Amino acid sequence: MEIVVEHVSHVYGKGTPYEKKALDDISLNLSSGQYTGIIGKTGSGKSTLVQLLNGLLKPTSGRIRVGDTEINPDSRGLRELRKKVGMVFQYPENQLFEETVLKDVMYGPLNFGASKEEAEQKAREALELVGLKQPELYNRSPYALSGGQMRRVALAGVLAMEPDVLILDEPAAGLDPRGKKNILNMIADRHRQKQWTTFLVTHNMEDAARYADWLIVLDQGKIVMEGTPEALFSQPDLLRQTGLEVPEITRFIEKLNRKISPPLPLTIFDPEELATELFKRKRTPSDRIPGEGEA
Amino acid sequence: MNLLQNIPIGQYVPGDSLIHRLDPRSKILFVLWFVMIVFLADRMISYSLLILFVLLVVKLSRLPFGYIMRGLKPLLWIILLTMFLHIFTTEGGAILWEWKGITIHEAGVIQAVFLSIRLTLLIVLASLLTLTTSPIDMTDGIEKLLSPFQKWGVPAHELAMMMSISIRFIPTLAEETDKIMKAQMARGADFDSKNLIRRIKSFVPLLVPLFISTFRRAEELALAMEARGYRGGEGRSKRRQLRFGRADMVSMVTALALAVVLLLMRDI
Repeated sequence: MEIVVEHVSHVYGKGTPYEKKALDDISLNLSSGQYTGIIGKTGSGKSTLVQLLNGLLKPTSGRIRVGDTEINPDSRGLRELRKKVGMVFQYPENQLFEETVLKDVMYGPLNFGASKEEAEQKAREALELVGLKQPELYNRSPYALSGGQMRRVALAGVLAMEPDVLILDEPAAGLDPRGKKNILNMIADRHRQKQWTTFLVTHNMEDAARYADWLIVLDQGKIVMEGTPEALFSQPDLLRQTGLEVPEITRFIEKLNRKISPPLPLTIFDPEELATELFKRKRTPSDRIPGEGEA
Repeated sequence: MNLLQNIPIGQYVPGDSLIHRLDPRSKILFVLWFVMIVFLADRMISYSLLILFVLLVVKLSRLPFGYIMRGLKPLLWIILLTMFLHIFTTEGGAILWEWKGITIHEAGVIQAVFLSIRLTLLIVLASLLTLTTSPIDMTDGIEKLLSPFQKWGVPAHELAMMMSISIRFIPTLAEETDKIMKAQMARGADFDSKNLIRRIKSFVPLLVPLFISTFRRAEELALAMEARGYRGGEGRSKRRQLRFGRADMVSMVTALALAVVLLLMRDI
């Protein structure tokens, strides 16, 4: 679903002593099926921006178009929009409440008018989609599951509504490395399969580089940089000005480049790819790293 | 956070006025004493005295008058209701108005006016206590005041600790509520449904996660406190010492004097 954001600002607590401008004149144009990463420091306005996209917050000025729905300061009845725009908050397992896993996942579809049978069908599909394939889990209390499983159930709770747009706010925070990789890979797979328009809000530059095909950098409520990960991370100095860092692997290549010529491109984000690139070099003696000796 | 921004009653306003600097114990005792002696007033002159006195305290606290009045707003209905009830139910004196068996007596009107003055004064003075006393001072004061009763098994320190913890976690809880509400709204929850039963039901998905996270947070807090050696009030010293100074003596004497004057006025 195409998303157009036009001159949107958002102010919290307008007219009170606590007034705070969170977003300042944001304009964006995102095409359908894109995987967008939103990066920025804590308090840069990332969460505010994504909450505007499904109408949980309304812009103080400006307007947003999601598909055929327009959100402006006077919009009402945005509940239908939330069916199309699924939102997974940080630590989503905190929102689980039902007696069984299946019932919890059915909550969303039921709210949007599905019949019990339909909802159960959708819930089973969603649970399978997130990789919870053992039906014996479905009748357990969600609180009896492990942290990673709870996260998946919560994710399924959003996917069961069959959204076209999926917003993920730090979906892997607090998971162990393997759980994190599993969940992010799973999302990336489904993103391609189902042609979602996906948003990933993250602090983690590695994840942003590896999964997103378009990146937006926010700083103090403004978009300061925008582009493909390759374009963005090949300008490390500009990025650092906003208080962000390039991915570790890019920093590694940066250092390596001081010792080898011709330099490696800064656009490699996958360790495997980097290894292949380095092995290629090893075969040509002229590119040997100086001071390495004859090995 | 937006949940709490609409309720300004009694929220501490930092300041350095005479009232702010009073020992919390004398402020608490004063308010309790005032609650009792307000009932000694029975005529216009004694009420005038009390009004003047409360206005003086407001002035001394250096808080904006309008801010205190705004705090009265939510209680306006209670004041009006008691006024209304007294007008129609108190009998005595001349009949001022009569219609189909409903009568308004002179005594009823006087009673209604006095009562609403009394209620307003109590609310203003009590809110001055919380407006000028930080929650920490308040719980310290309560703990100290309750400590003589420890002999009879009153857990003074524990009560005070419970109070300060609950005050501390109000904003946290409000934030958490806001977050879970949004998460469930993203899944289609409708907290503004017109249908009452549906509306009540819609709060289950909010309350269950809230309870669970509150219990978890309580457990974590208890562990963190124990890890730092907390073992309850026994033998525990305080970094902040309460000091009963000259201003406090003056306030206590004023409290007594006020009671005596009110008593004398009754016999005029």
